[in-house]
Amino acid sequence: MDLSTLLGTLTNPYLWQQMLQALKETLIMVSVSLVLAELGGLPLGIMLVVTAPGHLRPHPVLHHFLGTLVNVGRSLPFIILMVAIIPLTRLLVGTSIGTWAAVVPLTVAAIPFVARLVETSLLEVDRGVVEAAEAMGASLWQIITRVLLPEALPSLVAGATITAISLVGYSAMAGAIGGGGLGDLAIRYGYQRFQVEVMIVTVVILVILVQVVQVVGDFVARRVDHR
Amino acid sequence: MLVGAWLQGELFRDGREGDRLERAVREANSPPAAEPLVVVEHLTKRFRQGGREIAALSDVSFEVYPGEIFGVMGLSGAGKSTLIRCINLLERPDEGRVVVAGQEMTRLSGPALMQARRRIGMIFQHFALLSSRTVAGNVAFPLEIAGVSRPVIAARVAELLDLVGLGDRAQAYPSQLSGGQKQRVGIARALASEPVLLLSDEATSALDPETTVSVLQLLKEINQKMGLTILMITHEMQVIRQICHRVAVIDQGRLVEVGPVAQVFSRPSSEVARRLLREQLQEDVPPYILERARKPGQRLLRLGFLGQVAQEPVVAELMRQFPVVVNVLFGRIEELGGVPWGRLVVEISGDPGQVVAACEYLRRRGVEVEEIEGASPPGETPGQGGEEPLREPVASPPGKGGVA
Repeated sequence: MDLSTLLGTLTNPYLWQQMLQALKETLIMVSVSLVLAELGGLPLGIMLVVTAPGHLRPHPVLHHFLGTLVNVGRSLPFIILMVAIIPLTRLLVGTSIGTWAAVVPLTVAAIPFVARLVETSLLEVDRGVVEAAEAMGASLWQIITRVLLPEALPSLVAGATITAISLVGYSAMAGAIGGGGLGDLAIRYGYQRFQVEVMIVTVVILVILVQVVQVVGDFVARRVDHR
Repeated sequence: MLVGAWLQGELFRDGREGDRLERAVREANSPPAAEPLVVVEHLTKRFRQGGREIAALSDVSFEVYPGEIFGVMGLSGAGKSTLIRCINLLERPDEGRVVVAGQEMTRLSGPALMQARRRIGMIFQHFALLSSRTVAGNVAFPLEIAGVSRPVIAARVAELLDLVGLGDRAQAYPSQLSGGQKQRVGIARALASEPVLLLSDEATSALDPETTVSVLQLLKEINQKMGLTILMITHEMQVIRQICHRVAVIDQGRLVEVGPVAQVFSRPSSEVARRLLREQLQEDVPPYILERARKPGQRLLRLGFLGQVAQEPVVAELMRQFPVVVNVLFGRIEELGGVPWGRLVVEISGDPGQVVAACEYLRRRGVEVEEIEGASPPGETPGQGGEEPLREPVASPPGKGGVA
């Protein structure tokens, strides 16, 4: 690859059009599945914590069941999961191909991941504070919404940042079911068509994207942290 | 009426030191006319640890009366924490009853227990403030969960922060406060729901001595001004000494002694109380003074003056009546459950027979006499946890200790 080829590719408007489209797809996949995964993972993580032995509502059977569920979800390779849940995807989205179809397996894969992160964050909350709330006559719901979640917020934000970045990585695989996105572009043009410069450009954009997500995540985490 | 205040009045009105204390003790022990606010009956709590059961509390019973500051003292691991946590049922006892303000806590669960807990304030060793909330937000917390309206909360929070002297720190976060300030926030929060009882779980143990004094002073003021009953646990003697009216001593989950502070401190009947006291006293007396006791031919006495005798010229009279020389090495006077308590470390010299007679005289006057022994092995720092240099306090039956 010489400089003129690189410049030729980089000045090709078609490439940038593709690039922009791919970025849009990546952003849709990552943001939508992040939101959905948090919605699913938060309650799961909360239940994992409060049902734990010695916590607010110990329930060994439920705790064990949820823990196993999460572990199974996390042990499935994403590519297999994606194919395996095609019927579910079709049921929810109407098709098993495309960006929105990719959101379903991404969300399903991220929920157990988020649940574990949430569990870890909530377990970090000082037991003394939880106990103080109990002593003041707070209900379980009040303790969850007014103590556990606000106290763990900086850590939850950090966890969401990690999830978002993991989703950027996973979304590259969504190309397998026509999900598109930057990773898909890099594989198709850069790897399969030997257009190395396309691959480099995509990778650079991905690096910047990850960087931006991390910086924003850190900023928000710091802002909500009063510890 | 506060037991301590009563005790003090009684001690000064009455005649002889000996029966004065006896009477004070007897009176303070017999329940005042008021109904007890807290009744703990046959409380037992067991924990399972690695397959075997450990009794954290066994058959503990006591009562706390309205308006008093009741201390529970014990070494760490004695079961104090479990005990206080059983009062608001953070820990559910295996056996026994806990009644607070006429309500049997041990029968409650669910929403009824939540309601009952809102009438009991609690402060903690590590403050347990919400780091995500400002000072004002923390104080508002118990009101919010009780469903109090916002304007009422705002007014009450401002009032409480003024009470604890933090009116200007309302918008600060706990991480921006010192330990003493954090505990003040904790106190304001505990008072927010206008509790009938305040539980204090080692509230000053994480504070430096100066801050401890100011926080205790605040608790004392709250007790006096608002008539709030306080049940506190601590391993620090000075906390009990500074503000408690009555004290219970627990050891290995059992209540071994309960009585007015003046009685328990001056005439401890349990080994644990004696041990705790001894440690405290050794901390007070500078080591170089104890060092003197090691020199041969020196007799160092520790004298305790409780009540009115603390204000009488006993030592001067002693030297007038007996041909002995008393050299004062260390002295301190403080309050013990509202009763003045003077302590001296003196060096006494003279004819051995006269010294014995002098000690007898002091005891007759109601002074506690205890000999400091210099028997500690060389190299060991006195006053640093070595089991002796002190003998048994002389308050115990004659012949057991003191000057022979």
